[in-house]
Amino acid sequence: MATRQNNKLKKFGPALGGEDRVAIVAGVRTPFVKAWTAYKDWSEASLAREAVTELVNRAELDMKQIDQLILGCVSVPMDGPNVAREVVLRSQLPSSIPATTVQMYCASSAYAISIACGELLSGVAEVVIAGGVESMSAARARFSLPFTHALQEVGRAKSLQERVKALSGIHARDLIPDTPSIAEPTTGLSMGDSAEEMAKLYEITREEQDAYTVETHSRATKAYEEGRFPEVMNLLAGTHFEQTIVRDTTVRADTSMEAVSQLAPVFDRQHGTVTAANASPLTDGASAVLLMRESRAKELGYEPMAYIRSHAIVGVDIQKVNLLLGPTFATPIALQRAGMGLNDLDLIEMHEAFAAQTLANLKIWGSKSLTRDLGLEQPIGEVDRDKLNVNGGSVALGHPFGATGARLVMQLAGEMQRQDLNTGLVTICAAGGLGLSMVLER
Amino acid sequence: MARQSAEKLVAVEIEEGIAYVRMDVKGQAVNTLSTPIITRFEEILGSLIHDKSVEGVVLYSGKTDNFVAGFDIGELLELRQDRTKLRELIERGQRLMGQLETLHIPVVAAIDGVCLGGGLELALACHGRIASDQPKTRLGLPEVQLGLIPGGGGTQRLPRKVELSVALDMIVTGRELSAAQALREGLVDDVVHPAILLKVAAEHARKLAKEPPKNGGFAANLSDPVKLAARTPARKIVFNRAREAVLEKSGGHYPAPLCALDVIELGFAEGFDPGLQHEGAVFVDLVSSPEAQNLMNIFFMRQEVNKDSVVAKRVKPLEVEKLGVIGAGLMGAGIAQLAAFKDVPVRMKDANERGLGNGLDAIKQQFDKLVERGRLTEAEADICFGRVSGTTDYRGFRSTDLVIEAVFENLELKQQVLADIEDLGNEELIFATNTSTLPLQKIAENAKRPQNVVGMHFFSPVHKMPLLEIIRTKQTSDVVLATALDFGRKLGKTCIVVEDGPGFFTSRVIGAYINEAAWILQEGGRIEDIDQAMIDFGFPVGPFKLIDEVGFDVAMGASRVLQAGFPDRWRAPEALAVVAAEGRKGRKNQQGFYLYDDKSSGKKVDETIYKRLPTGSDRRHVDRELVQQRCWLAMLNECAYALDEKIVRNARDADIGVIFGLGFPPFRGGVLRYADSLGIDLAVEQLTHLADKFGERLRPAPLLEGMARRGERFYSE
Repeated sequence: MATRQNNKLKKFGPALGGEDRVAIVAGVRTPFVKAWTAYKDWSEASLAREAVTELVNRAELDMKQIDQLILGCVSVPMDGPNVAREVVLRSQLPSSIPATTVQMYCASSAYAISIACGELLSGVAEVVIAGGVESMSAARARFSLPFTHALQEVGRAKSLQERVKALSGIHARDLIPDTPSIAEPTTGLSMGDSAEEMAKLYEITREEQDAYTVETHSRATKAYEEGRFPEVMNLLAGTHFEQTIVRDTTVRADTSMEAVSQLAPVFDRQHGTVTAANASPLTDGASAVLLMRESRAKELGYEPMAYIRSHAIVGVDIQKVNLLLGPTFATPIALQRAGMGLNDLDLIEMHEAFAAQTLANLKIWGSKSLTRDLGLEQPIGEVDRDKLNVNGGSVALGHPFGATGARLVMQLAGEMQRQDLNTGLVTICAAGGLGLSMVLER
Repeated sequence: MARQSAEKLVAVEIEEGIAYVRMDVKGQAVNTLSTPIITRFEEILGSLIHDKSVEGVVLYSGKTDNFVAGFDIGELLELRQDRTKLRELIERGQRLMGQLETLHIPVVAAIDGVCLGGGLELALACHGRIASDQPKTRLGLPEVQLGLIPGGGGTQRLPRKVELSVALDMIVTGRELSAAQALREGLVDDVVHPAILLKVAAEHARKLAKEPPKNGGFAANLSDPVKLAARTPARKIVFNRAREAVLEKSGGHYPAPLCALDVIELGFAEGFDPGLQHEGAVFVDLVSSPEAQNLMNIFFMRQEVNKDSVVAKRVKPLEVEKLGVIGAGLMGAGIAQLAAFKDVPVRMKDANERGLGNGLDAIKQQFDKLVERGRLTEAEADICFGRVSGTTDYRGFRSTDLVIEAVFENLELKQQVLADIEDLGNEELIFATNTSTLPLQKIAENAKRPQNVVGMHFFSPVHKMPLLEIIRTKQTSDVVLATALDFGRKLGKTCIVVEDGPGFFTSRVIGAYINEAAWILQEGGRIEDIDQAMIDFGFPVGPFKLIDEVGFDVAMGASRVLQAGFPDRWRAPEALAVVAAEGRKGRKNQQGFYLYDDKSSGKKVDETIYKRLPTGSDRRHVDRELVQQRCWLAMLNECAYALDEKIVRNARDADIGVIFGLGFPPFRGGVLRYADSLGIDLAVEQLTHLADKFGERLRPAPLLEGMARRGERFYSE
């Protein structure tokens, strides 16, 4: 079976790992739920351990075989910032498993997979679990820096007088806590502002964004109805585990153009087009995939879902171009490394931070002039929408920052397996002007 | 042990002015005090008096996690009939402690691990105590648990060292303190990392040598610095309250705690030395009391059971690296919780999310309770809870090493679960059933690998009940049995191995007991009278309360199995069936023999039950002793049948089973030990009489009749 597919792909040259590729053996994720709802009392580690534990159990994996756990997490908790290690220490996994937590904004868990890929190819690991987690609900407001410094001094103070003195420099405004925000430090623009800018610059209309939104919800709804999310585990939540979460709570079966067009724009109330509906919702969730070389998978009796053919990460100059163009810059490199063109791809999973960002990237991919404007040589090509995000994307399914990358990879691999297709692309934009693309094959 | 050379017990090394006295009783996992070790200590103290180069002494243990576990109970049992020798031994021990206390140089105990009974008394006689900050370090005087009181001055020194209420609690209930608690109560002077324990102890000894505490030196506590509460008339109130509490708890069956209170109080009223004398006299009396002898015997029997390999020693148990539990009900969740607590990863399945959620909730609550009680930190509780993962399908079970099923007591269901597990295709996977009554042979009827099937009968609540009944069939392989035993012990259980048969051992014995109680109910007795009679006998709860707790469905299921299993001699009264037919399930549906509304929560009998019974609402008085006789003799008779049929391996296992699994009063030593003490012939006579009057089911078992004829006993001594 594998030989036949290898022959089919021969014209592209070798995949990463050559004859012994990196296999995606299995994937599990929690349902993604709206922030501050069902998972609001869960820590990042307790949410992530659900996905990781379920993965090893479903795979019937002898846990001693695991060499590393690598998790993505954007907003790590102050108590236990290496979330992956907390997961190891607080789960069924043996404590001897080394674990790291990586941060590449919305691409974090996809990057965790890239790192795992490298560890497997270099031979320092044979079995790696990679994934990610985000809990918007668990992100805490912080004291302002002046107030924090004052508190430190109070702690060191030896007398009441010193204590009073330490606090005397504090102004009322210093008492207002910093709330977690998604603003870009060097530009001061929020993600939403960047999406707004993109919509305006690349002329993505409100109607286009809303239509895209309705479509992605309807695809996700249909996919759930048809049981295309076997990777989504049931999760028991609530104070007494009385609540069973079986699917992503942000997917709406009843979404229509009428409904989404009612909403007011959020980031630019007067002239804007980005709304709460056509942006990905703030979400909590966790994801994990099991990775190993093809030979190891065979030894352990696994039938992998797909293999990693190539990957690429990029950074764009966000002082000059829009923040969310990662897919446009990363994809040509990943495709080149795979020895492929857009037309060789059977499926594409593009992260939908915003409908506007997805549509703008697609527009650039199909346009010579827009591509040239960005200093790129060749347009990637016109994307067949029937191959894109066939089971819905982040706008519908939700977007727990640290968990999305691995969600995209397992969703693509699962769909390739289901349809028995040979190739697929995952492409992700991330804050900081970062982008990641990955080509999978079977 | 007496043959050991003295140095093998206690060795002395002098280094930079400190004599390091190291206790290490060879051939034992723990240090115990005994005549040879006392002799050796006397020698050492004698030589230290003449050694001018020594400025201080550090007393420590060469064992891991163990300072001294207490006095050698074997020696006490040997001497129990010889009051003179016992008296001598006690006085010698007390004298040694006194010599230690009045030594011209300071002695500091370096306590790492268990420091109990005689061990703590030894430490109390030292001038300073430094403890290690590890969880195994526990300090206590548990003598009452063996029906004794401290005999090495503990009743006098502890109340002078810590608050009176704390001392009373420790001596009367046997409560142990952690190192941190001991520091808080002033029982130890410092708590340090085990790696620097000896160093700190030596420093402390040097400090005491240099700057003896005021009031005339480090031995000043001899001058009776009684705590405030103990000096005032308030003392009387404290002691009386303690007496009431003891009576409430023990039902008056255990003399030792009350004796301890007397001895402590006398020490306060008349002084240290009279207190010490009284302690010794009472100790000697108690050692020969039947309660203490029974409790000491049980202690030994339990040790033996815990060490019994049952199968050939060369059979090595398999490691259970991951446990599967099927059924997240009371028992399943309880087993999963305990395994997770003991570091074992668990995959737990229930038929649906609701059941699974309830199970997870029960597990979480149990860990939360441990946090509340300070046994675990929140992080530790989360680590434990994280070892349990729930599911509603069989994914994750193929990679387990042992699956324990705890689904409803339904034969077809259990057969199905076994078939499902075998279908997973893991040839090594051991299947254990937690059934309390269904014959294993039946459950394993269609098994592909019957050698992998074993019974692991836990008792409720799982985390609390000390017994695990392991059932083997004729096909169960030795390695499977060894694995079940090893795993049960890892969970901290005392395991008895029994053969397959209806109700195995414990369920048929408790079944006979409940059956007899139900007959008395049917004949017109009152529920609360029968229950109270058995509580007076020494059971923690009466038979009807017990049914409410375990559930009518379980009790009725057991009754049916036993009726079918022993058709010739078993007779069940209609009473239980009639009550169960009303839909009563006991506490779990808040409908049982007792009322479970918010007001009475199980304290008041539901009088409406009587109407349904053949004898109606008109209840009559039943004689307490007759109730006790009928119920316990029904147990004895069933034990005898089980022994005769070789269901249970020996009298020892049977008595351990009834005490730790069924709540048979420990001070009676067990069903069979109690029969011995009464006389088998008398038991047979009583049973014959009862059978004539109340029914053939009480006709003495052939084994008992034979023993009575031949004048035999269950135990040789």
